[in-house]
Amino acid sequence: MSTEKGMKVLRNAVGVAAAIMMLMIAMPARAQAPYGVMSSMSTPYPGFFSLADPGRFDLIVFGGGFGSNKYGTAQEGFQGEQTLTRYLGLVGRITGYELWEGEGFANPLDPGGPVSSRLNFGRFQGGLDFLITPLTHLYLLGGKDVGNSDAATIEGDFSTWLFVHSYHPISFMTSTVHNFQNSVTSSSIDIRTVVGSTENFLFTAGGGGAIYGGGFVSGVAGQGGPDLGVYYRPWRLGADVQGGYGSADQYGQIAIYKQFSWLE
Amino acid sequence: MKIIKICRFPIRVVPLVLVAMLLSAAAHAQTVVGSITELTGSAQITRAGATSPVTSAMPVDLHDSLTTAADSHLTVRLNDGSTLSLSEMSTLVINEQVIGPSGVRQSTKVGLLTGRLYAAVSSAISGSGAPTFQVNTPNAIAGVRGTRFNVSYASASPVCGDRPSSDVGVLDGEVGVSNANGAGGGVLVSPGYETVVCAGEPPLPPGPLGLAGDGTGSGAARGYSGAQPGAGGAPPPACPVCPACSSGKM
Repeated sequence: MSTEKGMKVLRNAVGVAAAIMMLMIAMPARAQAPYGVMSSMSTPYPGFFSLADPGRFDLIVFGGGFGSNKYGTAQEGFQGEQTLTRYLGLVGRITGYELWEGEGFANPLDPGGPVSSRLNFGRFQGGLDFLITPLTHLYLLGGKDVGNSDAATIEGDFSTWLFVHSYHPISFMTSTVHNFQNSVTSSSIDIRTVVGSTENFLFTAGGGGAIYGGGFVSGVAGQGGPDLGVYYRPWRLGADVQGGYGSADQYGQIAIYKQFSWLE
Repeated sequence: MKIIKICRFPIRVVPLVLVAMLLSAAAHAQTVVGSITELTGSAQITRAGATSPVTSAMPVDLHDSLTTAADSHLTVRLNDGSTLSLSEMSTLVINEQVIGPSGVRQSTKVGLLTGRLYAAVSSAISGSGAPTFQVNTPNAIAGVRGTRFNVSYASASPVCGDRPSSDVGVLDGEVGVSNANGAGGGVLVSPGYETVVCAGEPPLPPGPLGLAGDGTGSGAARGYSGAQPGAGGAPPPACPVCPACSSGKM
């Protein structure tokens, strides 16, 4: 696939993703009955400019890894969010990345294995979280890398839940990051549903993946596969695993996160 | 003889007085429906129009109203074995408690006027299968068929477009929920799920705890604030063995 053709495919993919996002924004507006939309069409966001009362600070500590036949990464960090209004939050995220390259690479926890090089860098990001509905977030983050990468980045994350008043709500998430140094744009997407809920656990299952394009990437690269998630309510601790196949051959990834909240 | 008659009078009266005293004591005992077993912070109790501070271990009478202050909570253990934990800024009224001769609950009704209530209810099914434990909020009725659940009432809820709402989340057993005005019938909520009753509307279909409730998005009350990009770990960098990486820069 030529670069030009690849970019065309990427543009189409971005267009489709944008259309899906618009649809998703519109659908939860009914499904989640946000902020008075159902009762009063004239004031869909009452108190838009009022400070959140009570305010809330959320902290998410996360870690995870991605392993494939061609490269692997491990990432860990935390994200803090301070509510400003009911519909707007101030977000800061710090992530440390370790990247292992090399054909035949399969284990990010074994740097002594068949690995040709290891790169370390940190990513500092800050921005805003727009709460379109109580369960629909749109993050816009700008950032800068330090270490073996010093790229500037811009990131847009969108997540929502549909049909929350049912036994099997559907979660839709997408995250797009553009790296201004190597001109690569990467988008990850995930759709999953709740397969079970108990007093302590929430189980989800679905599928997802990522596409890469631009810069050094020839055409469009990516991978995808099924994923599973579990959330333990008493500890507010969650874990997601995904495996599949794509440009980097077989891959697997895991993400673990813990949430904290403080009311002010 | 007259003297004897005079002496007999009090002898006849004493049993009557004792019976009257016992009846009076029994009547009083029936109005005590439980006691305060835990108190953190401060709370007020309103009894027969008079308000006083709540103290640990104090008895709770029928029709008492308990109100917690900010950063406070209390626990009431009812005579039927149930435990009610009231969160901060909440008001609870004990409306009814009928206990049978064998000590088994026949009917208990409490009202949550505002705030949040956690209830651990001992076996709540009567012989006829009807719930014997009921929580009323200003706009909803939760008939309890199970053992542990949360109820909250808010005068302005984002889920209901800033209108009043009641939220019932079930941890164990089942709870039947309906609107207080009977609108649209009711729903049966299973463990791990919750429902919201908006003012004047039937209960919404149950959804997973933390996703379908009043606290949606806040991650509060053992809820799930929803996975978000970044929440499950920042996405891996897009670097499938690239020349830029090999040169040490991305």
